[in-house]
Amino acid sequence: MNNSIPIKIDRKLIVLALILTFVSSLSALHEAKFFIAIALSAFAFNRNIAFNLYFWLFIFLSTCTQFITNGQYRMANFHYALIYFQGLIICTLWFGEEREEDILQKSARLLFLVIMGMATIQKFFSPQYFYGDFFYRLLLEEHITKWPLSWIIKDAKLIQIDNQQIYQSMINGFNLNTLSTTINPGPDFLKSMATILTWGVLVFEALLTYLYLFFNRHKLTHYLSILFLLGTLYMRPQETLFLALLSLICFAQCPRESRSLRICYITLIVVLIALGFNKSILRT
Amino acid sequence: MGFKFSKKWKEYLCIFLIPTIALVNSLVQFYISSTSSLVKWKGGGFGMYSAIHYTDRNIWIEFNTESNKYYLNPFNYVDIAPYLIYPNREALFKLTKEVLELDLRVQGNAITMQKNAPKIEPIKKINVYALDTSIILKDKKYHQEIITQEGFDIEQFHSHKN
Repeated sequence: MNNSIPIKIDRKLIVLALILTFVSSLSALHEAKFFIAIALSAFAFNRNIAFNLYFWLFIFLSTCTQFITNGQYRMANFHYALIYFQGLIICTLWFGEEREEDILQKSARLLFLVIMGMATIQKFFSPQYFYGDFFYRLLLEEHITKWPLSWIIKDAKLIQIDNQQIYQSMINGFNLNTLSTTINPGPDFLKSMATILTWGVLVFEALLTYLYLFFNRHKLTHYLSILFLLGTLYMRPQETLFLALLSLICFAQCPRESRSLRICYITLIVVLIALGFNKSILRT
Repeated sequence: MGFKFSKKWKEYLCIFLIPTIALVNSLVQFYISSTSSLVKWKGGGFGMYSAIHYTDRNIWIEFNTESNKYYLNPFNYVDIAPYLIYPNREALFKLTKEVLELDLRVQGNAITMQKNAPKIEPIKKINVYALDTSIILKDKKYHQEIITQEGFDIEQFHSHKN
């Protein structure tokens, strides 16, 4: 491990973290959006504010208010990951200018390990995950009418509507004796596809955890991370801000000399934040 | 003279503090969600997609009177989202209390709020069911599974103060 990199924390990373915080604060659950907007406006007048420890403490505390007002169990994993990342920036700035980036890289690596490692462990110990519920349902209820499944399956829309009706009639009528209903399963290959995706995602997440544990600065690790982020975006386009945050955590560990990788990360983060911004604006 | 960390300890603190907090919180969430009805998606355990989302949960309230049973899905009348995330006894009690403040009327075996329907008879006991709805790949079926079932006597609501 190289312990003597006298490099300051990357300005791009700080700016992207700030914008991500602001966009996430636009969501309806956040109580502190106005304070953060004021802080961001101040940043426009003085760029040094973005590297100020107290400025980040203020943002961190503002973000924390939503945990108090809404309760810890109403908060999504994204909100937790966001305050952890803000915490990393505070710790890094508190450490001082010397080896700032090195400190951030090491703590971001540990945070990524916690997030990806826990995601893998939770899936591995969840019987519901292995029922195939998540991916089978995702394919049947959402992806069946999207490319490429919509090209292959003739009656995609009908299968989707059929299952929606079965689901609705099941949850609208309560009867302790009949707690299960047969679905419209669609073509047989969907079942195999769901099984492959179930195991594939688990293996991929475990692989990423392993790679970040031992080779977090290796190019292959980062290319696989980008592949994972894009794959997740395709399967779950709703998760834009969480994916932007994950990208940011990966970006914090990306070696400065890998210019193409850094450009890939920045582009991905900007696109994800833009998509999230669009959604947040629609929600408010 | 103020307390000052040595440089090495400061470095350790900066690197390990936040990841340790994240790890401890996620392990606590993992334990609670594995041993109780807390949904895996919430609480910072990073268990999203490992189990169903709370919007695929459902709550039914069964009102027992002297001669009948009436069922209500409170979804249309109160904001049940907070109760779906962690439907423990305390949450279900709170939800039922909120529902009891409504003008409950009956239509067949169901509860309604329609003004022209007859008022519900005096309630003796209330059972509340929280259910998960998932697909099981093996038998290609939607399954509803009762995750929490709690019974309350009506006196408990009368004697309970906010």
